[in-house]
Amino acid sequence: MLVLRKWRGRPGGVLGLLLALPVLGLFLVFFLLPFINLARVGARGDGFVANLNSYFHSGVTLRIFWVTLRDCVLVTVLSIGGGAVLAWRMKTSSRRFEAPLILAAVFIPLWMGGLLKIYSFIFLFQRTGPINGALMALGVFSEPKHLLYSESTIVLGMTFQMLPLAVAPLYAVFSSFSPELITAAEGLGASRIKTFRTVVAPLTSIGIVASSLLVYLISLGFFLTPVFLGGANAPFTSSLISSDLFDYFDPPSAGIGAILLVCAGLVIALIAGTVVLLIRRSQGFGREKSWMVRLDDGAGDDPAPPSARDIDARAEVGGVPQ
Amino acid sequence: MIEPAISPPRPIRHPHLADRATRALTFVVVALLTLGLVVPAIVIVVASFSGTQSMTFPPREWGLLQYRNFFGSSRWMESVWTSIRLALPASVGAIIVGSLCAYVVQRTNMRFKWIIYAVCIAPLVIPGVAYGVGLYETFVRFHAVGSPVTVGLLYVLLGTPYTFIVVNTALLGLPESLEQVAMTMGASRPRAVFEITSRLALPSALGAFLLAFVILFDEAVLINFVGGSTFNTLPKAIFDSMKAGVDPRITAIATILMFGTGVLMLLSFQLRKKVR
Repeated sequence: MLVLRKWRGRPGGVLGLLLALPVLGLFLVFFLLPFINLARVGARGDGFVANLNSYFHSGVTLRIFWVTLRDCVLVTVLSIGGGAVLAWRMKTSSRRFEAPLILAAVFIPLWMGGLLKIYSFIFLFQRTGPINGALMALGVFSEPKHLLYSESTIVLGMTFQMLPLAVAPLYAVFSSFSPELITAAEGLGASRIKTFRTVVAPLTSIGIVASSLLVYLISLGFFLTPVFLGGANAPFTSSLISSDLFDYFDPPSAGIGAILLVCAGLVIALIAGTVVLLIRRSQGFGREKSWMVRLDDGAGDDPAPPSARDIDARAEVGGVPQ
Repeated sequence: MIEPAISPPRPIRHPHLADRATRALTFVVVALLTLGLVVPAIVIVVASFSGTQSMTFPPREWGLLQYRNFFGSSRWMESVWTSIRLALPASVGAIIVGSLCAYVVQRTNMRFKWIIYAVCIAPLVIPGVAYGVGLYETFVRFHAVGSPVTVGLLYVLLGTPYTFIVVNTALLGLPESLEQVAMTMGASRPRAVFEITSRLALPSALGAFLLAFVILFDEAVLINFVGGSTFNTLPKAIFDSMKAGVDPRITAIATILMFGTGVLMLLSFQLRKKVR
């Protein structure tokens, strides 16, 4: 017995909205509301501007903010640079074991989880730890030095955490264009460096900007690493925020700091968007895909194939028969 | 996941000197980075088998002291149990919500689909501290600091981006015509979705569940803000212990977590590849 049902190709928007209600509800309560409350806590007491002024009253917090931004940029540059090298090698190595090896090296730290990576750093760099031991054995130091709790350790620790996270989007970027373009360029005589400059760079520039933005935003939010690897010697705005909230019971300052970080993120995102726009403009805004190759110089269609008479004529002259 | 590498027909001899130098430099950089990424993990694993409480490396004595101290401590075991109790239901919630979102994006005609993408991406790119402060304020307002239900719901939201991405990719690979064929044969849409699409996407969904579980189990930042003093998950316990000093037991915890996470992630990866 046939049951005839009425159905459309795809469910409409109403069902979609219904199914999306859980995530929208969660988002409203656990994301939008916190940010509204963040703004409110920043304005608590004397109002937002007054709190902002008192936050920057001593030059210390301003300097800390500047150090935070600068170090996050450094971490981004190092992670994207190292990640790009690793991702490129993963994509183009000709030995069979090399790509899985790099992949494993990238993944194993991820399995440790952020907090334990920091712990491993503390373990390595502590006064009685292996690094001090090795350096003393090599004769660099005569007594164990305090390697922890400095800005460089924070940058190193953050790079250690961001490097695996940077490899994935960079690998996707390097997979987005056809590798034959490189072979073609080298076949035409370009050196590898020139190929990078003229072929790879324009194709991947936008992807690299996007990956850098992602890495930068995530590193702005790092607060475990600066707290543990920096201590009181090298504070970041993020560690300042947490100590404002939990040690000094000063929620408005914590709120101001947090809002500053979010604004820093927004500003950089806008800058990145502008950069992407400029790159696209310089490349002609085309909707062409990277794998498309222009067969002509745009002058017109291919010329008509030679007719039989032309072929005979050419054969008489001694040309190459088509 | 790894596409075939470019393999030249015979070894490339680079005539340009700058090329040779660059290639050598690249090799050195890659070697250093790979080593640098793996060495801390190896050090921790080796150190976990130290038989004494001292922090010297390499350990002077070998043994399972750290593991015994970890499993023997009721405080630590309780924190593990709390983490599991929090992450497991939250992962279930995350896979449900994420699958719903993926279905909406892939199989319906809703107009503002980009909102779902934005909703899923936003918790990942917001600076964690800022998010934490806002969450803390919100939770305090509702007297919900340390409340398992609200923290659990928060974790569902945190896990959803990961489940959404995985299930979305899986549904992308499943042709929509399968459902439609079932419906031409008389099945209702819910039946077609339930019996066909979800069955085919099940391995991916399981993989997404494992991924969300691993991520939520390890979540260490926000729990400090909303967990209060009573909600002691394993990452929070590690955090508190690290504030007090360097506890050698954590090497054992790290090793266990590393291998456990590795196994779960590999399993999840294999499952995700099985989408037909």
